[in-house]
Amino acid sequence: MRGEREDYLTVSELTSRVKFLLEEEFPHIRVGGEVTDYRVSDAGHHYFSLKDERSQVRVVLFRGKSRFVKGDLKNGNFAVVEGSLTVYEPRGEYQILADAVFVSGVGNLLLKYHILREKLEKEGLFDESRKKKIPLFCSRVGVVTSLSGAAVRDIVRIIRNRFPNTEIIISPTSVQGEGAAREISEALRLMDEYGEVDVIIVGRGGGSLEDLWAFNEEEVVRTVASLKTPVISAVGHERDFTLTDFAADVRASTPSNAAEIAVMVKRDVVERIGHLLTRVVSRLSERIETLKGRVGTLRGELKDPRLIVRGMMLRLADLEDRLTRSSPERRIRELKKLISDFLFIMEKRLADLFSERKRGFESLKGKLHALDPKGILKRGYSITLDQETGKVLTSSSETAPGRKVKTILGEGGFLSTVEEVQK
Amino acid sequence: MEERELTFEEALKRLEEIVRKLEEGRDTLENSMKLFEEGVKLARFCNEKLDEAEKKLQVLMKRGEEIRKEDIDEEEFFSQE
Repeated sequence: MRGEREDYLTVSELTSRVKFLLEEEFPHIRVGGEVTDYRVSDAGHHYFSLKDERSQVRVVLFRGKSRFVKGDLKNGNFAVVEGSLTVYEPRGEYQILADAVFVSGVGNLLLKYHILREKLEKEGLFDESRKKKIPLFCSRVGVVTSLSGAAVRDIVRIIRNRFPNTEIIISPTSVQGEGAAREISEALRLMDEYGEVDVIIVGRGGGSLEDLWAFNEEEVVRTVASLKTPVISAVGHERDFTLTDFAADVRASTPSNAAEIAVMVKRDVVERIGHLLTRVVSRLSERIETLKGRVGTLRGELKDPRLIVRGMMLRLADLEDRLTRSSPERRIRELKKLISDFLFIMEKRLADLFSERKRGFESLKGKLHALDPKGILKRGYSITLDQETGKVLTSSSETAPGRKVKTILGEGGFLSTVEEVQK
Repeated sequence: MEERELTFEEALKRLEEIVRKLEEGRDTLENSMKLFEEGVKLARFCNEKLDEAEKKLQVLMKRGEEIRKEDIDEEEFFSQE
């Protein structure tokens, strides 16, 4: 069967992979919460869950580790469990395999932490909107920490490396133990009152929850939130989150990191300004070169001023001409001329046509005259008709002696009798 | 530039703006020259600001109402590690 499927995991395979991942990722953890569902099995193992407002996690402490339970392990008490994370494969449940359990009643530090955190969060002390911006360039950095700790040396060293001529002003304070919270608050207020620093770094190096506790005290947290100067917090290591971190404008993971946030690398800034300046200069000189080029071209195009004047005059005349031509009066005049020209031509044509016709008519009239028999008669010819039949005689054979004929002349006529026919 | 002293950020921002304007090249030559002058001034101002800070390590103390600063020798300071 196993060889036939490749598109899914078996439950065991999934579980063992999850187990592997969790154990890899959480080899050692410390978790605090309220104890619930506590029982001891017949074999003597301890089973319980830790819970807070949102979640629960199961815990197992084997019989052999019973002596690492400090305090009264019972439901409702607050406990911090140290151990590793594992998965109980038969049920696919993840749980904490405890190495030690620290129990205390109400008054426990972690509980205090959570209660205070919730309270200040509700007040809006940690709101993003309250956060001040850290200036881009801090020439004076204030440091609030212990003069004897490693933190202050880390900060000074990193600042000197990045931006050597930064002024560093330390407001010394103890950072743990009795009265530390009050001292830190006073040192912070003194620095803020001094008012000459661009940013304040407050913090200390790593330590236990108890060591870092002053930075979870309400007085310190409230002081940090109230300062006019921007604050970078740097308490303990990357994993430690104190309430001071939440109240600060920026949280740094370590004191060194705080110094990196506060101070730029000088060379980078100088380079950036230099680069900007180079661009300003090069853009402007490019611009000037372009303009110079244009001026040069224009100068090349310059000619004898008289030619220019002539050219200008020509252009002006042309423009004037075009202008007048385009005036309405001019247009009307032009149209009128066009019409009268047209009329003139038409009249001339008509006259020509007429005289031509007249000439034609005259010659036609002449032709008609020529054809009119009377015209012929006028020139001496005559017409002879048979008196009886009225027929025009055109041949001598059409008449005979003794016949009466009528002769028509150009004017008048006469009657006569044929005496003899001549062939 | 205004009479009020600019902050370093403002100066740097303005300098970047000037570079952008000059790169767009839409201004008249006269304006470009003005921008150029301003840009050079700003760059000088920024550099001066960067050098203005003094290399000093001091401790802040309060004596009564008076806030006092006391210099620390850095070499000695690091040797205490």
